[in-house]
Amino acid sequence: MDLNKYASFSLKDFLEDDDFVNSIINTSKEDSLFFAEMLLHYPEKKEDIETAESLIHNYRKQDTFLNEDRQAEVWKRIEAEARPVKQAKVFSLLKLMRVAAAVLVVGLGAFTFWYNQQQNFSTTFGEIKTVVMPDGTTVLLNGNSSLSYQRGFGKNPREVWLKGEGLFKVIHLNKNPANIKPAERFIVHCNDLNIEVLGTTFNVNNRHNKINVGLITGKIKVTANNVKKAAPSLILAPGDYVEYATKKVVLKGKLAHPERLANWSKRQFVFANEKLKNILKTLEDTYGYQIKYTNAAAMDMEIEGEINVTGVKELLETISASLHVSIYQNENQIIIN
Amino acid sequence: MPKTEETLSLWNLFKQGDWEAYTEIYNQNFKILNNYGHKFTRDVNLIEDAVHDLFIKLWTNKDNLATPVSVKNYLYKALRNIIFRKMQSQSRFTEIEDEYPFSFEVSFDDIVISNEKEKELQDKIKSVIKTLPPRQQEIIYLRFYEGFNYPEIAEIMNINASSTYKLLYKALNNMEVALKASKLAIIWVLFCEFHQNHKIL
Repeated sequence: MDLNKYASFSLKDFLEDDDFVNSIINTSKEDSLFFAEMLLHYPEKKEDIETAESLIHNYRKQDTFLNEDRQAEVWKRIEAEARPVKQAKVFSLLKLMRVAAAVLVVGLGAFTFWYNQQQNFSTTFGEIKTVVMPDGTTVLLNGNSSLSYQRGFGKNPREVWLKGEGLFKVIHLNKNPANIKPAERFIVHCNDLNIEVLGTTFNVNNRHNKINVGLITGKIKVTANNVKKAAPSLILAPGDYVEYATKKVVLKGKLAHPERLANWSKRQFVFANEKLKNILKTLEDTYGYQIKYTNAAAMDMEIEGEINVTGVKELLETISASLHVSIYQNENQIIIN
Repeated sequence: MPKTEETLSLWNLFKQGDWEAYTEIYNQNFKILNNYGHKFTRDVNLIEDAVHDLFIKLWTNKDNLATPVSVKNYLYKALRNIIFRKMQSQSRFTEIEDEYPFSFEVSFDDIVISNEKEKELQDKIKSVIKTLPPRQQEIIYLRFYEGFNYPEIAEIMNINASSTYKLLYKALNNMEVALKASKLAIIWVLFCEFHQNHKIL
């Protein structure tokens, strides 16, 4: 580095000089040598150099906002939106195959294997499927959902596992509802929530670590799987709904129109005073649309009154007209401006 | 701070669709991007949304992205643009006279300094910085805190190289004037003289 130029430097010149500033910001050995040499050459510059150095050092002692706590959370959002779907499917398929292989290796008897093997039913985005189980119970699966049960279903308490959304019509086995034998029970497992059915029609929505249960007819008992202590169960009567997140009740109430819980089965969209983002979430979850938006504020806008439409196209038209936003649909993408 | 070659090879992997590399770029830059964003707004949701949008955009456009001279520089520029756009759309109904209608605020509130002289200097810096226009504050920050060089700053702030020199010159000039006007300058002179005398004795 050329030292001669520093002969006529003022405080401001030092602060403007790339070499000088870099030597203070990234103190490496080479730089501090450079520094020492300069002081040797220009002892009269000591004050300016020291002031400049002290100014930079002290300016750099400032508050930081690193937002570390939110790093994982924000990444989850990015991952959910950007991660290639194909890759994820292959991955889970591989995982599933590995599990299946492991079961084989363990080498349980062929019958036991058959008996315990899971029956899996799943739907892709936008697909609705009816699953009729051995006992006559029907489950209507909404898009992007899966239901599984053991092949030996019906001998013991009937147990099913649900991800996504399903509308259950459970067949009674018990003659006397006041006295239900263990073998007559019907249990829906959702992550860490169990729904015990006492003969009934009800809707379960198990997505995004939130489980929403709404009862249309009959009676169900909802229990969170709590490792530490037995969580109190909730008995739902027709029209009741309850929402769980991380094993806790976050919402509880009475539905004005419980029969509307089944609206999705007719591909009907019903929303009342709903925020735009929640409406779009439904499209994302059950139909697999990718939602893109340029205006974050618009996502919080609420559509006043009630929307009751059939079909995605009609829904988008309604949103566009009532919120004065332009919506473009390009195959799998919905773009909102 | 990872080396430039490392970040660039990471960048190239990411451009080929490597999810791990993409994750790593996020993890390396999340904190500094939040810190930079926080200078423009205290709206944490907005900053997070901007970082989110930035990374979504990166992934969707990865095939068309060039290889930047510095990844950090590229991310800062992109984040700044997104934040500006978001803030502009938020304040759509308020008048915007300036092309830079946002504040740029560096805070020193949480820093504890035990040394009296340093504390005095810190207070002075604080009050001087506050009087500078936002653009000058930003350039001081990019230069002295982040250590970006002139071409990089020009790129981030979307101005040409000579404007960058002029802007920093102006900012430093304002600082110098303010510092000189203060008693502190005198204290400094005395302090240094004392030092020199001390040595002579």
